[in-house]
Amino acid sequence: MSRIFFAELRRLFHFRLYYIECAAVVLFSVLYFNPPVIDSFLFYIMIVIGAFSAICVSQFIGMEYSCGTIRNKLATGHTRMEIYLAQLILHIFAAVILFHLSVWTIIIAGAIFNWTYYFSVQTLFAYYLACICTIIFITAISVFVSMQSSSNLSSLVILLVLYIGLSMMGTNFHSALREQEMSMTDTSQVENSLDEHYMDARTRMGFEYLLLINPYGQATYESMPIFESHGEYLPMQILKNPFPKIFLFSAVESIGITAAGILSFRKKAIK
Amino acid sequence: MDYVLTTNCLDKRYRNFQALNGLTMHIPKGAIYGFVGKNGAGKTTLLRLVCGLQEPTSGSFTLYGIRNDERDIVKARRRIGAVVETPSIYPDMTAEDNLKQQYLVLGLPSFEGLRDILKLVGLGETGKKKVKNFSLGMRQRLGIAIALVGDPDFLILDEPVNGLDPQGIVEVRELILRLNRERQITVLISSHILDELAKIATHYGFIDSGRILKEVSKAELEAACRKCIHAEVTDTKVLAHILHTANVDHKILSATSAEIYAKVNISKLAAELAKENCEIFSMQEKDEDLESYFFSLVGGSSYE
Repeated sequence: MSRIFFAELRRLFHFRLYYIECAAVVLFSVLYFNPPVIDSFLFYIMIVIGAFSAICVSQFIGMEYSCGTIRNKLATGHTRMEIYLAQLILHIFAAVILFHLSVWTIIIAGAIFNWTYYFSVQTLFAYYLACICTIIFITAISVFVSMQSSSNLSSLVILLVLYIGLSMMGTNFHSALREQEMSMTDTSQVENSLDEHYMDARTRMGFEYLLLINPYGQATYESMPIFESHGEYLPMQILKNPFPKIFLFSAVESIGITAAGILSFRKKAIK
Repeated sequence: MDYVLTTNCLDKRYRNFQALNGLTMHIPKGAIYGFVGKNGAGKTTLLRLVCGLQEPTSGSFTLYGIRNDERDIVKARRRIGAVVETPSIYPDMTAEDNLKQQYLVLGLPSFEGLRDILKLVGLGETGKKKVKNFSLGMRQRLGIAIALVGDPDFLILDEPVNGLDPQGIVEVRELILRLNRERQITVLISSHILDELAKIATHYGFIDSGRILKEVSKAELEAACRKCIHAEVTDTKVLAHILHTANVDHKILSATSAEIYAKVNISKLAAELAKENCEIFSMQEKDEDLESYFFSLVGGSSYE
């Protein structure tokens, strides 16, 4: 597997699209980071990395099929599992580099412009790990779709539609979870009433789980987990301390998707 | 005889289409094996199975003595180089970069011999030219060069001269001959360009509708295609006696038919046979080539 990984790593360094994505991530980080609000920025950077991962992975793996170069690997005795895992590790590596480029851009920009941030180093480290888990999860999906579909265009379309759908679901679930139990109906009399959109405990727990099993739900949570604009707010009322669950769900789902991908790729007829 | 590849009742079915139908073939070590068949006969399907691109529906094959369902088949595949259908190359890279990529895929410790392979296939001077700007012949040769990385013992080439100009065809043919003679590489070539195949192949396998019709060596094929007179007479014993007395090379096929492999005076022969009360039913000159031999096997008259 390491042989294919290093061969593909060399190809990644020849892949112009990846350099364009690196430059775009740096540019995006400089333009869109609004200090000191690092949390919502993390959500946007996850959306960007997801989209870039979809584009890069679908084109990179699609080229293997369209140029027939995947045959060179199979015909010289590499197993399909080796090929799949090498691609997965490579693209996780590539996406993590993109993420770090973004992080280092805002760190360097912060040092230059003397920005200050809300959070402690500990909290930021928890964010960092959660983001890495989400990136691995998103990349596992991208590699799964691209390895099953032999066409780079269809992979790209499927992935973009999927990520748009998942991010919409993530933000909708997050919005639903943010509904206040009591809403202010008359500001002059300061009279509160029960919000009709407020969920019961069982539905809420379901929504909280649904938020965390969706990579973009995770990204949404990572972007606004603790603070609302007016003070402290916890969208996760039932699943207290969801960071360990993010790690767990990301790991379990990434492994599940990869196992399904390998099994399916083993049966795939290659032209 | 040592065989590099043998297949045993190999079947491959795609939904409603039976691509291979109990195919059994044997490729001897050191041979240039011409795999002859019409379009859609199952040639490329077999090559795909051998290269591990697809799995057989039933039956098996053995590569270097290792069955396809054994774990070690991947090790046996490390000894092969293949160009199946189109050359597998990255268009945005140079020829040298493409080769380096394959060196890394094979895990070779250095790029030693890379320039030699490029020179061998006549691409030593391409420099920084990207593969997307190569001609069809150059791409084909680069595909062969990639297949040669790692010194394979067995080269699988699928229609290697398809779409090439006459110059390209000669170059690829000479390259294959050189690889076989100088490096003792066993070559399996699938083709339906029979004239070309006849110039290089040492063994032939004729395939139709997913099954091997016949496997012959070059010598056997030459014997079968030998220019001769096919005679139908009432008694071949009499004919044999006359030909033997005249020291004429011949072969008795049955009690009434024989083949005569030399120029004979037909009038004189007819007179001598008449003297012995042996009648001639027919006498036909037979001059088969690979193409007519193939058609006599598949029972067709033209390519589909």
